[in-house]
Amino acid sequence: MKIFVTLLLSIFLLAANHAQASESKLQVVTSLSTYAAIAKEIGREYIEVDWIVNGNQDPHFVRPKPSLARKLARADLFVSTGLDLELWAPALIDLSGNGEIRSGQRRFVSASHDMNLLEVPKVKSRAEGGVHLYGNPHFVANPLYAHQIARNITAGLSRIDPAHAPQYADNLKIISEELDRRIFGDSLLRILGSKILRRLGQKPATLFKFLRQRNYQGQALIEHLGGWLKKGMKFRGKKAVAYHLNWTYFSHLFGLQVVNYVEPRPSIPPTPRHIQELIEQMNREKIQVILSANYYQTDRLQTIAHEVNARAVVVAMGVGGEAGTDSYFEFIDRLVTRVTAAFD
Amino acid sequence: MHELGISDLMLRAFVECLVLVGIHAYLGLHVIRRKVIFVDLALAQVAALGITIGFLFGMAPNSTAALLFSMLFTFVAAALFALTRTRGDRVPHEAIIGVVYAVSAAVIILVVDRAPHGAEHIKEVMTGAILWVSWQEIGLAAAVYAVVGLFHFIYRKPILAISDDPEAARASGMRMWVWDFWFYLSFGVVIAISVRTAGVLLVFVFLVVPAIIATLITARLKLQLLIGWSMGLLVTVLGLGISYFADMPAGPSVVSFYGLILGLVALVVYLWRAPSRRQAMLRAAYGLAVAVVLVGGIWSAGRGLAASPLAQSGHHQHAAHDHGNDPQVPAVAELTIEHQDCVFGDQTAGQQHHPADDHGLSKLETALQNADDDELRLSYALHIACHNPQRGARHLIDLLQKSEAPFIQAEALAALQKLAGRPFDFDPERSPQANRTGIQAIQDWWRKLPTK
Repeated sequence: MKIFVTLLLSIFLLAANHAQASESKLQVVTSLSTYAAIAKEIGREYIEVDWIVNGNQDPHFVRPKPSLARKLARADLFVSTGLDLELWAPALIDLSGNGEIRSGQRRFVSASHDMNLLEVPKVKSRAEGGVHLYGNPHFVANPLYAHQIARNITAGLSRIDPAHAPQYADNLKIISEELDRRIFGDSLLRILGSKILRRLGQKPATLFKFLRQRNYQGQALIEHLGGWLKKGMKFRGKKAVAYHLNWTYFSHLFGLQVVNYVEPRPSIPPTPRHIQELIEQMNREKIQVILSANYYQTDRLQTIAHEVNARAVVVAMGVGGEAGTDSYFEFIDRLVTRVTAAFD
Repeated sequence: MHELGISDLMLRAFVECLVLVGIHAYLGLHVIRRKVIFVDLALAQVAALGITIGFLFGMAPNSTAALLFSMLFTFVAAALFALTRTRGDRVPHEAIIGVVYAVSAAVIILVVDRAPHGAEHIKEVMTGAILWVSWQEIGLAAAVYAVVGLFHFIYRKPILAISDDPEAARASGMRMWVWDFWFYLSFGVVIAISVRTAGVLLVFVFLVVPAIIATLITARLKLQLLIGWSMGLLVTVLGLGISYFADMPAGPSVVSFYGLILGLVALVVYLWRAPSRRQAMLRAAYGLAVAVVLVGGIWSAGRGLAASPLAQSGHHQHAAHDHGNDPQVPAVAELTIEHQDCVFGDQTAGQQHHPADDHGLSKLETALQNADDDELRLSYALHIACHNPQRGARHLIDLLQKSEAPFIQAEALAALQKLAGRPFDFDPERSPQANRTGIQAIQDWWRKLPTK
């Protein structure tokens, strides 16, 4: 009997302890699962992370559910792209009544802050389809951009929790080094260092020209290249067709030429005539690969792929979007592996 | 941060539902009497079409402009319905209503196909976003419904007459189509407003289900109205509760729950009215058993079919294809080296041809000091060495000693060796200790360089 009571008591105590522990942790909510994975690497034991859009869901649109507002009401920090990707976020924040996580407030982190965005339109108009007015917001597929996402999240965490700022800075360093290793490989990283590589990586064409033309100890630098970029050399310079313009950053880094889109204009479903033109173009230019995030209709892709004897790569465009992509590294790994396999 | 309670989240949706139930349960009784079940779906769809076309014009779906625009569409539809009712019985009125529904639904799809995220807009038109409703929208709806309700109360006699028994009304010399038009017009106004927040599906069940339940139970209008209202209230509270606790979209939850309740009430009424209670119970039990078997059968058929090869999309079977000897697209076009304005080489004296002034050199040196990485510093150092070997070499030696990148060390070494015209005993792969004599030799060489 005594043992039983002790056991029961200790369970209660444990539970209470646990509740307290999770209470004292910072509640971080992110719009995309990918930001959540990166935030977790930085906040580690000091935060609890939740997210709204899974890796296999379309970040452009979210169904209103009570739990989403409740999530945001509890949030100490909200991480969002900060551009016009999550157009559903303001209404959700309004409903949550948590004004401090509104864009521009103290508890809001814009993942795109200080980021070198691509495809910034010259004329701002929605008539061209769901074109993103501030530039293409689908940058999570370029691992070099993860550096800046991680820095932005670190800044946000340090702002609301200065006591742990040194730990966040340490964790930022760890994830950044890991990113560099995975992107460039150990050998090149040792010879050139992360600073040079990160700067050159912003203009991937220049980086590769540099690596091909410069030597170290009688060997072209490109021979030292490893990691994802080495793997991606399989499709560097090759042509492909993509469904939506969320491949821009990936193809920018890996030198993949996306020559056309299944969507005639961004976020506008394909029309029969456009599909026909696309098929003709793919036949003419012998394009063998169609890329798509796995939240779009894959039937159409298979139809087109079958028509032109091409391969459709349907892959998660966010962390956790398919099995075995639960960390940012696994996610990019999968992306690179799948695209590489398509060009085999 | 604060916790969101059920009232913070659901209160607005709940009040909006109450406002909707008030007018819709009443109008639903007319709809049932007139046997035009589809009319509200059609009017709702027409209103949605107005919102959608307004969206294309640039009106936000929840703006007042879009509301007025969509009312314009419902007026036209109301006139159409009023005029077609009097035209004999060879074509049932319901058929025309159905056609209006189908055509406006199709046109919506055509229209939103031109708009970004159109598919999502269609989904929203169907299911609404009742969770997002604002107090202003609720206030507007309540005010308009009150006016419509008053109108129906004042003219309840003629409106009821044409709903209940059109032939008798016609025989008594009433101007049918005028009253019909007023009825459909008021109806359209109500629908245009409710569709914005509740969506087509929810508006349909608000209108029809309480009315069906009331009609099942009694034939007296006053009683029907009371039953309709209380049913609507009950179902709304429970449906929204389910939505909250099971975390499901609010509108569709209420709609599905209405379906369930209608089934239950029908069963109870059937048992109640049956001449032989026992036989009715037996039949109900049979029906339940059949339903269970049916559901089980469908479920196992689904499992079986999903596991069979038939579940694969047709294309997968042909996915394998040959791409053995297709011509490879050439790798990225080789780009030419950016021209360096100083060809670093054997004739360092040649650089004296375009000597930079001190001002230019210090600008380069400032840039070097502010540079973010050693590769940039190296290029600045090389530029400086072009104009002034002595100053450039000092930066190169700096890089040789301090850079953590072996490549930069190797490049700096190569440049220094070119400037000196002889090799130095330095290897980036060796330890700093092993390179000490080499550094010493380079510094000795540098000290002897002319400062100009």
